[in-house]
Amino acid sequence: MLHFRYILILFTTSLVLVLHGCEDILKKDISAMDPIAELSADELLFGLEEDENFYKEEILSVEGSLVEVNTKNGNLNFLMRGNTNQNHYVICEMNHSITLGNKDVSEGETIVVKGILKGYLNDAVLLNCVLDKTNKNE
Amino acid sequence: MSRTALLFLMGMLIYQAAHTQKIIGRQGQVSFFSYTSVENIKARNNQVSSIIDLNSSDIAVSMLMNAFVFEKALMREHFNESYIETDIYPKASFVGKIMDFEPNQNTSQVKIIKGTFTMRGMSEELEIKTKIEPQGNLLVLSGSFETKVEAYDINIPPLLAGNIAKTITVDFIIEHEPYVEN
Repeated sequence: MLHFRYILILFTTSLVLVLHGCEDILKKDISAMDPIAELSADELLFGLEEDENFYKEEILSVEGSLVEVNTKNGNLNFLMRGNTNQNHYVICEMNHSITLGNKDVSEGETIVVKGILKGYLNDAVLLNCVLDKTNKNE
Repeated sequence: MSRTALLFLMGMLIYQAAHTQKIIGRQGQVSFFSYTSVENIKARNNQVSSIIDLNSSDIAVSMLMNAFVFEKALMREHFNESYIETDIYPKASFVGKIMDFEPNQNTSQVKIIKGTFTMRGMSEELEIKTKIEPQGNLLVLSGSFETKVEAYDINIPPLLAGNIAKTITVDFIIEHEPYVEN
């Protein structure tokens, strides 16, 4: 009987660990997770132009000027730009739980967004982003 | 067409966009669906890039394959690591031409887009029926097409073959706006 109890505990622990491991990094709240690097929008864009694998799939904190807020495809998106690289954006698709009105941001201000870098097309693409800070609360 | 050639063409279209009449879509949505009796798999990518040359009717679409979001994390893991191998083939592209396109028409039009879709280094010629709809200063392209898994040399283990449809349905909607170089 004692033997069976140990097996049950071991099975339950394994199941919890497996399910936890299966939690989707593209959906979970990454607010409490540490970024692997803190970059400006310019540094990110230049880095990706040099190497398309630059910090790929890593959690990054990126600072830039907010140029557009939209809700395309049912998601809140922030588009940021650097100071020198004006033709390319850092596109941040925000975590699904974040909606307009939750955060006080306005176009033109400097913000810091944390998200998972997926790569570069014409612009840098980060998914599952959260707002780290704005210049209003610094 | 090789991946390098596709990227070069995409780059050329972006460069020319600053000098001729081009429109750009930065956050297009592409979704795909696989229906089988065992399992339905859906995924969507909200960050698809597209450029259209209004003079020549050329279109170039590009997407990051690792940016697809699935219902389950395990589906995304299998898609990226086993099937598409996104570390080796990070992007998919479509390069083509909108047939008989009337760029100045201010009402909706349905046209065929002929072109080459490239994924995992394999290319397939496609003809896609597409709705082209002006909305203010935007031009919205939307449509749906089917493609066969076997065209892209995807290695599906026999044990999982029943979980993945042989023909995948792909839906897309991309808003294009005038390209402005700063």
